[in-house]
Amino acid sequence: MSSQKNLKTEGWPEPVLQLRKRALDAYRSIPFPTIHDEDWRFTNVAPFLKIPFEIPRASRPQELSWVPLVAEGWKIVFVDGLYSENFSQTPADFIVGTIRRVSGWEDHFGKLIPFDKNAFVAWNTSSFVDAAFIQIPDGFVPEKPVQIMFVSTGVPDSVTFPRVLVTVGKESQLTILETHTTLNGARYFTNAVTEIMLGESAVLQHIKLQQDSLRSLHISSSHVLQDRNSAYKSLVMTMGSELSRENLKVTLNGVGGDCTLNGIYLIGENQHADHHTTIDHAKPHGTSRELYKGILNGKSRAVFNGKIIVRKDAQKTDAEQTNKNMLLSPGARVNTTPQLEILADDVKCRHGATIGHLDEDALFYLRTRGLAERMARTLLMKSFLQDVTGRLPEGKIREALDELMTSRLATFTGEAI
Amino acid sequence: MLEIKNLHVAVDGKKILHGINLSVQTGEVHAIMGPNGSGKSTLAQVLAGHPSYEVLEGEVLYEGKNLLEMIPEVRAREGVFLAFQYPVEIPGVMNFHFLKAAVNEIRQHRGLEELDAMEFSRFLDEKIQLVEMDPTLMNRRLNEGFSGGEKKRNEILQMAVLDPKLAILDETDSGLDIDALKTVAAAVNKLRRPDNAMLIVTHYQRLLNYITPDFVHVLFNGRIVKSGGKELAHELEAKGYDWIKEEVGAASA
Repeated sequence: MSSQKNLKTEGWPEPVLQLRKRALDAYRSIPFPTIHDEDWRFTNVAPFLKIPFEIPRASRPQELSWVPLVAEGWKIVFVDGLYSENFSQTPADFIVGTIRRVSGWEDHFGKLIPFDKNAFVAWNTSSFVDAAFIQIPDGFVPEKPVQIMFVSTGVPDSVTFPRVLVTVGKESQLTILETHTTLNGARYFTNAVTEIMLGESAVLQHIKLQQDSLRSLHISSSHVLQDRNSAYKSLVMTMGSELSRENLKVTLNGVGGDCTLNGIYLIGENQHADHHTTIDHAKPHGTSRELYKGILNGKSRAVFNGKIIVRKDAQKTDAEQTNKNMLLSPGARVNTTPQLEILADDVKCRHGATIGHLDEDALFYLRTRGLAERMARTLLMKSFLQDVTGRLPEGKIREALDELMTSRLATFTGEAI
Repeated sequence: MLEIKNLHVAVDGKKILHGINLSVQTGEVHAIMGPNGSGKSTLAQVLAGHPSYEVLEGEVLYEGKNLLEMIPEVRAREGVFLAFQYPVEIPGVMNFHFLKAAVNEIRQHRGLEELDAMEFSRFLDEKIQLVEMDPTLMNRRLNEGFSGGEKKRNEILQMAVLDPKLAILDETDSGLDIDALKTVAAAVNKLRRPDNAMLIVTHYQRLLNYITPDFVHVLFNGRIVKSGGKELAHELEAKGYDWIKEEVGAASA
């Protein structure tokens, strides 16, 4: 394991230096999780952690002629972990920047995600090079979404520490598209940390697209803290990485919070995608809706673990969790586990999981109408995902994601034939 | 148009059809009748190319070509259509988009230009009127939440839209009340032309009150045991299938 000393420590204010120092101590003392840890029993990171990942020294963002998936809206772009002014486009009326360039983040940064129990978070917190910061003031609704782009140029055996802090003020609204993409198929490690705070009655739509290289390791730790009557709507779309782990925790910390966690994973070959979510209903009258759907090809493996906590105070909680999987090949596997911890007595809580296959009768039906087999297969897979994708607001982001999904699914039909 | 010769078919290792012979000429409507389990639906599915059905012996010529060698979508593009007994619900696919995709696949195969959304919309409107279908069903997901009658009417709409040369109707009358049956039958009659042919698979004669067949065949235990004109259907309606079973039993005894 590399513990690079050439981190850019200069210029950080004292609290950040302190934070990094404490995180470094933690990082040195906490072991990485192994399959003997309950929470990681299906996901083995050990082989990857033998690789001596290093922070890429020479990034050349100015030489990039293009960046993948540009949707409409404001953009904040990081290339190999470094902020790229060339590609970024930031607004004047609210903050989209990095913590090296703007202020306002000091009260919240590093406060949401504890690093003393998680080696990946500790590593990120001790080593991040810069961090995206988005702040929407109270009562403000930006006209356009914000795209946070993390682009890897594919420096072999490099590690980057994407870091995001988003605060959405009272009665404000925002759409974020967070993308992790690569320019080539190198082996590298993305170790991301995201903190999100929603004020009273704030609404945030957060779409994350993970399209890292198929040889990469992607570990992401996100925590969302919701104030009363706020709404967090998340869609995590996992298509990339050889091994990925999404830890997403949402705390409904005010009365009447509403959270929607949706996920789509489209994986093949030897990909391993692990989605761990925790919804912590801490206050009454909260609603959570969770729907994760996966399509697995080749020898891929998916892990879904959905934890729902309903605290003693959180009466009238209404929670629903569903995980559905479609296996395209006999070599694909799924481990799905609901985990409910319900301490209140007046709650509605439902969960369900299914593992199935592509409906051969439906396939035949479409083919008898003249549709080519590959087209029919793609159509049926998209049909399976419809109740997730159909919830995205219509517009360029939806179109772009749809196109990406279609081309990903097309590789499955090619392999399956 | 269609020549079935000594067709033997098994599904899941179980033999269902034991040597079917049938010849259908352009412009003809043939009815295949028979009791439950006689192999009617198997015949329909095999002609459409369902991969679960294994042809053990025999051949099927369609317009002189080997139909059994064609994959299902090629059969469709060549003009073979199966109206399903149980149309499949596909929740993520809009009926309109599905029909447009299907029509354009077939047009492309026939060397015709693809229709754009406007052209297709106009084309579809005519067909919707022809089968007297509720136009709002076009903006619904394919067969999802459709009533039994709506599903069957949607099958006939697909038939109208795809304009097949050989249409196979598998128990199209099942699950329809008499009014729905009349509408569906009227639509089918409008699609009947001297340059196409139909194979109507049905357990009951009542559909044949509205669609008059040129020939009626009785399928029993995987064989066609009797063929005749439209009066054979009436005879079956009046006497049931038992006399056929007895006749077959007597003949083989």
